[in-house]
Amino acid sequence: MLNKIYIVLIVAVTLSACVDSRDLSKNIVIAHISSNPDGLHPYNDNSVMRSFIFEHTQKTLIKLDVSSLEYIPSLAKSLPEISDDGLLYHYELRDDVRWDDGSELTAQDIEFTTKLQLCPLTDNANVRGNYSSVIKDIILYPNNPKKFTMLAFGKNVTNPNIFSEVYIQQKAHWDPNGILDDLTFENIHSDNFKEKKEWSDWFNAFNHGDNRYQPNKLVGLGPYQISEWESGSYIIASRKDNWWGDDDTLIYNQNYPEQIIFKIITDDASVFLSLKSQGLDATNRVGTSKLFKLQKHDYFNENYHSAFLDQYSYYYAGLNMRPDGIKRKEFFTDVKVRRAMAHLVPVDEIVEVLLHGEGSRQVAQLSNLKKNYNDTLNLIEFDLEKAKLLLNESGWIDTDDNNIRDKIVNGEKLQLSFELSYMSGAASKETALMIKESMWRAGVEVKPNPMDFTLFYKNAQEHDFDMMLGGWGGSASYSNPYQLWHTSSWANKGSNFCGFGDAYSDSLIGAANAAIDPEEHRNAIWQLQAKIYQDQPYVFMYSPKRKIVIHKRFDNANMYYEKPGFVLHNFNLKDSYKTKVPIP
Amino acid sequence: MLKYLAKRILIFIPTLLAISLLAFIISISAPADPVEKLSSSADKEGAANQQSNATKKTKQELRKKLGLDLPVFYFSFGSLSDCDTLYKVADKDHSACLEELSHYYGNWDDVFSYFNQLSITQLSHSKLKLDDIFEMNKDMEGRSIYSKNEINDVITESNFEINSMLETANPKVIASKFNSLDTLYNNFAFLSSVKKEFEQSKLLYDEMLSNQSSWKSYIPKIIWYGSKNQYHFWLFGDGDQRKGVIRGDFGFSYIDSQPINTKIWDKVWISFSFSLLSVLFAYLISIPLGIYSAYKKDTKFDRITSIVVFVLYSMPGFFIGVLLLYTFANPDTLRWFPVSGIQDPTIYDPSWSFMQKVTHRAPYFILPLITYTYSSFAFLSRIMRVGVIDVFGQDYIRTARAKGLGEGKVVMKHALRNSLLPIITVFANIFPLAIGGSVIIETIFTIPGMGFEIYSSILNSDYPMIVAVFTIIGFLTMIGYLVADILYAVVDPRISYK
Repeated sequence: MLNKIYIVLIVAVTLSACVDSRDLSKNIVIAHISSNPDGLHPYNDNSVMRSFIFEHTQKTLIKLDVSSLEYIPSLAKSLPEISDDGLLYHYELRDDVRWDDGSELTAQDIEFTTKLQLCPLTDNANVRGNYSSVIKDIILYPNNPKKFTMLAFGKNVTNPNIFSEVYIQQKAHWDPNGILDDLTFENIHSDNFKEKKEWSDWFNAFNHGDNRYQPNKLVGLGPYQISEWESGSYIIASRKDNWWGDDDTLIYNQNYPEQIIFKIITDDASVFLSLKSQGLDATNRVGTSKLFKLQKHDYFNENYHSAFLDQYSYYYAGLNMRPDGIKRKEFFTDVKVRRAMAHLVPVDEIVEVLLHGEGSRQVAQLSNLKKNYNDTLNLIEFDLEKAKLLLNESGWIDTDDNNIRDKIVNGEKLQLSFELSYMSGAASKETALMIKESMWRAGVEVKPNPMDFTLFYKNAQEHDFDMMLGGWGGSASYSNPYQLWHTSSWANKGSNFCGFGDAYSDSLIGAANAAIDPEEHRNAIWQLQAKIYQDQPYVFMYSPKRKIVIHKRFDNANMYYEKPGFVLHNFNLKDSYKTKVPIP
Repeated sequence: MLKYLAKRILIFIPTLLAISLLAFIISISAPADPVEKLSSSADKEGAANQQSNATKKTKQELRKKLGLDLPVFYFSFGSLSDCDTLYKVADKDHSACLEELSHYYGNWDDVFSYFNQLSITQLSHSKLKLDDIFEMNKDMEGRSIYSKNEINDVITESNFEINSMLETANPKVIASKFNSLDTLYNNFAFLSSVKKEFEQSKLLYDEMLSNQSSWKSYIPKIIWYGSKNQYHFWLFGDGDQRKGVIRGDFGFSYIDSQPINTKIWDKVWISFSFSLLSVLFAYLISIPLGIYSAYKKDTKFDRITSIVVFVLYSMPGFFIGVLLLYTFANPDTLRWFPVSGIQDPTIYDPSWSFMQKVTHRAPYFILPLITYTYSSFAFLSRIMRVGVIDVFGQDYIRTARAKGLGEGKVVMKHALRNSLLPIITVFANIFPLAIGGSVIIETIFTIPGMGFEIYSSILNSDYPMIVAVFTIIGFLTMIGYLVADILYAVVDPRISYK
């Protein structure tokens, strides 16, 4: 009897649990994100997911065009006019931009926004320096509320684009009583910034968690408004009625879907199954092998566009060029040894094994997608014999027949046997083992040393490694080489882990950063690439391809190299789908 | 019984304080520094220049904002050599170095003078400009004495050595750094502008060595900080924004500034629902299974169920989770259940009634629930089986049978109740599980529960969240055991707490 009850119970639950079919005729885009954004505050949050969502809910003065990879005006009428000394940047705002309450966007809003971005009372410590070191003041023109000038501290290549990631906020919404009116830029920049009680109170309220999560408080100039946020599950952005840019022809202002749902799925197997059951419309975060599997199914190819696209991030093996000689021995101080290492790392094999061939070889620090890429540099191919020759030339010869090369360094016999540090993980382990095997064939002993992120990063900053596996992200916008390649970033334990650089490379970095003239900038960057290529602090390995999947029920399903790889609010539901019945 | 309960509840208070303090100390002592995480730049290619003055200022601001510039507790145990204001040093590495130096040399004033002078030396070195030095070092014919590369190498090298000295207390390392810096100073005259500061550092280092009084490290000392400490503010609030744990306020998350209470309440119901349902299903299936196995002891049924439940027990949760997904949420096999989440965003309406929400979410709960539950079948059913077998051997069961009672009545009325004690012990664990969640299952099924929340808090050194969860788990464990104790008395009248 008891058994029967259970059987009935289980069957009942099972039947009631049958999954609802998704209605594909709805003009709703479901996009995949892999984690909850850390918040959607206009200034205080920092995650990649936040920028992805802000593409639809916020607006900036200028923005990077994903197809041309050039900056284009967004809220501004045109790109800024630059004074001859490179310190003044004149902007004029579009006349048709309206806030949600119908009022016009004015230069006062820009001044207010900039104050918030720069003020030490805003909880944006991690990015504030990027702006406070550039923007000195905002000058308004009382006779023209649409015009303003940004005064820069100095000449810098990023000055013209500094507003490309500053999300403009409405003064009348956040500070209707003008509490921050007497907060001056001079005060903000002062080393002895003194806060007033009413400012502190205002900023305490502004920094409050509610302004990061409460949908009704996440206001912006974009075509969509966050209408629901189920933390850890999904975020819904709903199209605004009578939005100011509805008639605009720019792709960034064409907003077709009624809703964009950012659905959080953390597990790759779940992404795979969601795509199989058409539960997602767009993703750029599906695993390589999973996408390969999906592409073998006709029904997937009938329903989805999918592609592997190049991107800007890359992986490398870093070589310690300036070891202390005590804890870390002088294996890689000679450029010939470093070049030999480059010939010994089996990059093509690694790409084939780990990425099923879906990765591009990296020549130097810049992706070949960037317009300042130095195309005169050639790939360093795997070449065992050449590597052996280079090692012989640099004095590393196996004198004791133990298959490990050796050399007398500072009066001490040193075996060419070193540690390869990497962050624990299946892919890194596989890479390390392939490098180990390949190097052994040339009489080089590699000892893989896995470690957790904290220790790995600390060791890298303290230059406590021989060889290390690492990777850097990137985008189409300019990335300041100072962080990774300037000698002071080595001395001050920044991200120049390997100790690359000299006065010449530092001067190239200085020139590249200070050049407003594109040609001057390009020359400096070209030469810097050549210098890095020549000195070989890294064995540049590969750039993994971005995997993009978009449902075929939309028109404008274009794919781009720049993150995130698609423009969701541009997706336009095809007529043939508007009348389609739910899938069985 | 009531007196016993009151006593137990009273014991909760000191136990909770001890748990919270323990949690506090563990999280504060963790190697990662939340300030480092929060201040690291989100630059597209790695962290920003860690030691720039701007970054230092930012770190100090953050430390103050998070209340980390205060001592941890009311007092600390130390030695005569310790400094009582070391907590004010913003950089964790510098603070560790100072602490070690004071242990080695025993004389805080000397240690401080040396370290301070070294910081001054670092500052003056950081102001060395390659181009200025290059221009100033030319011979009579206007030719430069040093190449730019040479100057750059010396500046870089000397900066690195001094920075490293600020982070080490090892006498051998310090001596070797002094030596290499000496060589640089002797070989490159352009360093003369900063040599004075360096020589002064050396002098103070020698002074620190000569005044070494390591014995001070062996004389214990209690350093009293008063109520202006991190733990006090956490417990009782700061009289401003924070009310303190004692008033039910766990503070704000470091990561997203959200109140911890809100974060926990938003997620705990999901983990609690899973725990509760999981235990319910586990009991509903395991108890009858255990009884039946005991009743049919050593039969084919008993052996087969043993094998099945133990095979299930041996399979890891992530494997079963993925297996279930591939079988029951896959258009290629059976598409009975949704793949991820706990509701469909295109259909779900927050204004629905409770029953509508339950009906809508039911399919989303089935697969995770099976994954949550299956492993406890073996454990519970075996415990139940052993308990019942044990009871079957008792005299009163024989008596009941001898009285002519039906087998059903014998099992359900006499044997079952007396076999429940071990099951109740297991029941006590449901309470802490409610807040603990399961990282793996939540990841596979994208369930926004507590497991993943705690996991990311640990990764991001979100102390307030970690301490809050730790304390609540401690509290719930105590509640669980209290409930279990009460249930023991209910089930077995022989147990009395008088």
